[in-house]
Parts: sequence; structure tokens; C-alpha cells
Amino acid sequence: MSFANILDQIVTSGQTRQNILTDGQFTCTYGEVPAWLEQIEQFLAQHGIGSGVCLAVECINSLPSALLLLELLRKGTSFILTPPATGSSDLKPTPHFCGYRLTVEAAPAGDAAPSFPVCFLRLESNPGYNGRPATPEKLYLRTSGSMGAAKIVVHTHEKLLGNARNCVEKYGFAPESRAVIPVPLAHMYGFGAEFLPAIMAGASIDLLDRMNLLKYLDRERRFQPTIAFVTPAICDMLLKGYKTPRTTYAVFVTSGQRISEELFRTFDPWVGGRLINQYGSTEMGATAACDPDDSLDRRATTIGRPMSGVQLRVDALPEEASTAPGVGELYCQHPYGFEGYVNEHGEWLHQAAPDSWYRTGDLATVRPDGPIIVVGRADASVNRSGYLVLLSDIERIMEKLAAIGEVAVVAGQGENQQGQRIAAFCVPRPGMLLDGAQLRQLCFDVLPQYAIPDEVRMLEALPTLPSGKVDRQALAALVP
Amino acid sequence: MENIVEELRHLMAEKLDRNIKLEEIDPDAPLLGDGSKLDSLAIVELITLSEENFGIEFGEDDLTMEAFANLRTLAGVIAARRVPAGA
Repeated sequence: MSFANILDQIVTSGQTRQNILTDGQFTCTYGEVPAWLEQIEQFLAQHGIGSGVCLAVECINSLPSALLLLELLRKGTSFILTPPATGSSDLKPTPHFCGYRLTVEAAPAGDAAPSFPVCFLRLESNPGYNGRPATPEKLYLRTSGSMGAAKIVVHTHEKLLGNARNCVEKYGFAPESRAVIPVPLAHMYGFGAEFLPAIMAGASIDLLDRMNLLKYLDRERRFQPTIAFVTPAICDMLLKGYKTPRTTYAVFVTSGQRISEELFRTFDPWVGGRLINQYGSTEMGATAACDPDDSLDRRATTIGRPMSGVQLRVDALPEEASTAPGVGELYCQHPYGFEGYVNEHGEWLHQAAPDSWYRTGDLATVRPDGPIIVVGRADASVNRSGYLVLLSDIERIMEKLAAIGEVAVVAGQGENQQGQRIAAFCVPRPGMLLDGAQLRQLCFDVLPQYAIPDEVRMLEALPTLPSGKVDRQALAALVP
Repeated sequence: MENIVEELRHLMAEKLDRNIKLEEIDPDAPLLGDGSKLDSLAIVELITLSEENFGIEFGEDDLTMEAFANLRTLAGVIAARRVPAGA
């Protein structure tokens, strides 16, 4: 069924058309959506924008943004989806394969502007457009990879919906569901794993822009969500604000970055034991997750069961290369994975062959009883005194030290007698006053000699990328 | 209450580590929303600093956008929390 058909059903069915979409400022029911979509359709038609053009869409978590995205999917218009630039440093130029840049503003343009929702839309033609006609029904996304240069991921609308259907099935999105979305709509996670599944189920949606603790608590009181998709950083934030456990969540999903086992176990009871860690990527979409009924142990340490149709495989590393037995590279075969990568001109950098196995770049191990545990990034390992050391293993162990709140371990450029230099950057737990040298001493009790970081530095906070992930390149640059 | 406002101004300038000067802190200026100097992490820090400094614990009903609208409203919440139960 096409998205247009799916949407038609949702906006007319008695079960769903009274459900609401809100952003805290504006609200509409599903039944009212077609009228708003028509406004957007007319606006685009007036400017000669049909499905033969690819748009560069910059959106926020607002109702006008949501309506725009629904209209684009309904018409099969291709677009690249980006969040607003937070500073001049991460300002990405409009790709050359986009004819126009369409920005959803937080405030309307001015008195002379047309009405809702078009008053929030700012359209500009792209001076760098290469004139090539667009391939319809594509979604483009920049990867938020923490290492290396960004590439543009290509998805088809059809597979995007397949991915969304998997999430509907896995997380139980239903008309009665109330989904709060505090993560950006402009990423595969917020858009593909929460927003689209909620829409396809006709669930009520609350879009939170520029998330902070107080805003979340206020909106949670008002909206009474039963589903939330967050990040580990948001879980950490909510720990400071939750005074009583929440019992109304059917499922509370975290993703985007590895969540420490400590944080998982600490936060889980605050959301009624319904915390789930989702494993996925911009390339594959939602890949695997536990079920809320799984034990805490399973949910805190494994990635659970693959989504429907997804297969996972761990290829063992050669014996002599690893002292971590059973650890290997994780590969994924996904029915709704990406088409490939393109560059700013829309030229293929890589095309994924059908039924191919995608190298996730993660290292994993398979438990005897079946579930897979992701242990770290394959490129985040170093050779020390002949041992293969996973930086994430060092992080995992150091996280258990009472003095440490957060830690990121990176490899440096240089080498010493042991091998590549390792540096640990730590954010102390509040109230802990140890310095780097003292913390390093503690490492001797918990880490084998070859895995002890050459230096431990204290930071107020770990630098992050716009996606929220730790900026490991920035940290690596600080290490000699 | 003015004492609480003053203490909060000092907390923001000295303990919050966001490079905010004491003179710039207007107790009636919005703490949140566009144009605010406080990012989401700073808000959490302010909550922790307030609790530690004033020896209180914010309740569920205190942690709202309204309570933290500006330093004066925040001072009001802190003053209320400081009153011992039964007094």
C-alpha cells in the first residue's frame, strides 16, 4: 500500500481521525490533516515544485514540519532531510542535486505571510543546483558517523515504510498509543523509528522541539505519553528530574549511542521497567531490539531480537588477533536497508547490492543462549603489547569506577613501547574530586597492564556532535 | 526572598561555568526559551546547584517551565521548599 493510501485510511477511520498531532503550540486531529496538506500542496505547486525536483528540507520538531514531511511522502517527492544548523561550523551546503531549499521556521515569516502552515515555510532556490532531474521517492540523509567524513545515505520511500512497519510491530504502536518525540524529526531515528510508525498506526503524537528537562516534564504531565524514543543523554537528564517512577509507558526506547549498563539498570525502574535499547543505523534503519517483557539482564546487555526480516551474523576475528574470545564483526542483512551512498552531486559513491550483507562496523559477541551483545566499534580497537584492545571495553570497565560519571577512551596518533597511545577522558561523578593521575592509579586495580590508558584527563563534559554522540575525533586530536 | 534571588545570581555567575557575568544577570529576564544563555545541561546543573546550595529538594510539582521562568519565580519555589513541614 502506498503512503497516500495509508494516510487516507488514518485520516478517515473512526478509530484514528480524532487522535491528535501537537507540538505544544499547534494541534490538529488526523481528520484535519488533509486540509493542511492541501495548503502545502498548493504552495509547492505555485512555485512549480512537482515531484521531478529534489528538495533540501530543514525541519524542526513542529507541527508544520510534520505536515510538510507527510505531504512530501504522500506525493513521492524526493528530499534530503537535515536538522537546523546549530552553528556556522556545521553548516552544510545544499547538495547540488537539490533544486530548492525548504526550511521550516520556528516562527512565522511576518504579517504579510499566508496562513498556517505555509507561513512557517521558507523556500529558496538553490544556486548550486546542477539541473539534473530527481529520481522520485527517495529520502536522503547525512550520516552522523562519529569517525570520518559524512556521506549521504539513500533510502527509498518504500523501504522507509517497511522499516516503520517493523517498528509498529516491535513496539506495538496502536491508535491508543501516545508517542512523545523529544529527539529530532530530522534524523532516521526520530523520523523513521518513531514518527512514521506512530503515523502509520494513527497514534497521537507530541513533538518536542529543543528538549530540556523542564519542558519534557511539563509536556509529559500534559500529554501522558505511552511511548517515548530518547537517547542515553536524555535518560541521564530525566534521572535528575524524576521523583516518582513513571508507570504509564508501554515502551521507552533509547538509541543513538551505546547506553552504559549502569545507566540502563539505574534508569529502567524509573520508567516502570519498560526501557529498551534499540540497535540500528542511518543505513539500515531499526535493526534489533529487546522486547519490554524481556528480563532486565537481557535488556541491559544485549541488542535483543532482530526486526522482522532482518538477519544478523557475527564473523569471528582470526584467533591470533583477539584475546576477546567469540568477538567478531557484526554483519546485517536487512530487507529495508539503504540503496547506497551518494556525494553532494548525487553521484553514487557506493551502491548496496540486493540481499547483500552490510558491515555494521561494530564488534559483537553471541551469547550461548542466542542474543547478541554489541561490544564496540571495530575501528575503535588498538594493538597493545600484542593484544587487541577494544577501547569500548576499557570504557565499560572504567565506567564501573565510583568516581567516574562518563568516560570516552580514544587512541592517539602516536605510539609508545606498548603500541598505540590510549587516552581516557573522564567526567567525574558529582562530588568526586579525584584528578586524572589519581584516577589512572585506580585503573591498575581493574584493568590489565596493557589496557591501562597512558593518560587520564578530566573534563567538565565530553564534546559532542550535533547528533548527541561523543565527538571522538575531537578527543583524539587532543592526544599526542 | 531578595536574599535568595541574590544567591541565585551568584550561583549562576560563579558556579555555572557558562561565562555569565554577575552584572548581566537580570532576575526578571527569562531563563528558558530563545535567547536564554542556559542550554539543557545548564538547566540540570542549576537544579542541582540550587538543591545543594539551599539544602532543599525540588518536588515533582516544582520542576516546571513556569517555576524556572526567571530567577524571581525560582526564588519563590525555593523559599516555599525551605519552610519546614508543619511550620
